[in-house]
Amino acid sequence: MSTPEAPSKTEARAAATRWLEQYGDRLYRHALALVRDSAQAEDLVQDTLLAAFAAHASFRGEASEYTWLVRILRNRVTDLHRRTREVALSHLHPDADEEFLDRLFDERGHWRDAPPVWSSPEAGADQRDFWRILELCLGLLPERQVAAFRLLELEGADSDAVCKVLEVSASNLWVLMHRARARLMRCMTENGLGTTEGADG
Amino acid sequence: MAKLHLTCREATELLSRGLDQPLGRPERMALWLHLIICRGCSHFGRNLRVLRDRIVTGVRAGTVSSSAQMLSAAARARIGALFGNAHKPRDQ
Repeated sequence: MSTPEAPSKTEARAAATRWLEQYGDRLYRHALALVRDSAQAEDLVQDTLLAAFAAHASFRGEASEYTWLVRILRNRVTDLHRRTREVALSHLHPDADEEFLDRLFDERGHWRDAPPVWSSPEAGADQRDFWRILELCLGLLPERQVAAFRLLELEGADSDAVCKVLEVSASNLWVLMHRARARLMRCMTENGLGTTEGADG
Repeated sequence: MAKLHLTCREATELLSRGLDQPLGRPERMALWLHLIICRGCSHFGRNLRVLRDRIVTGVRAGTVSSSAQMLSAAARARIGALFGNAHKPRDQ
């Protein structure tokens, strides 16, 4: 087999240093979407870069560097989930959120309290407020919902990739997203987002 | 075959999924019929759009990259050190 000459260690070091500089924050955000805990996310970035460093010679430039790094990161997360499977399945099951929906809808599936309409954002004045409330409410979502939401909405990941990382089917992903959005909407309304007209009741 | 009469619970599911992938014609039809008569779900749908739009705007404007979402300096230094960093001052 004709393997190209392995790049020197120095080259790999230089590459890893550059990845850290260029992609460190993006990788960290991606990791944070998946594990939530900042220390764990930092460890994931570290593991990813170490693995990439070790595999530097195998990077062939078929994908962009960042895509390649993200793939490594996701594999690490999948491993992590596999190792903590018992936990993952017991309280992170995507369907384990019926009780929230039951609070939202009655037994016939109708709103108990119809949501008020949010006013459309004027300019960018309250954008900071919006993010503060969004982050606050994201913090209250069940783990897999927040992972699905962050990856799809904030990281712009495509749904196939998210299904793979979270090990769910497409229909389960839509379930997760529905619950996430319903919870966010309730939470953000309660925290005063865009209800200048005031909710009735 | 999608049914024609939706509950609000089902309608909100379709509204949410419709943001991520195109809905089938029967689903769109059922949803449309439901939204005509249901204020709560219309609000929900509008709010979903507002949520999506504001996130898109925020991501574009970089508002989302608050310091909480960045790799801490300490972590950066620690990871950098693993690669025997080039920050070492050269002699002469």
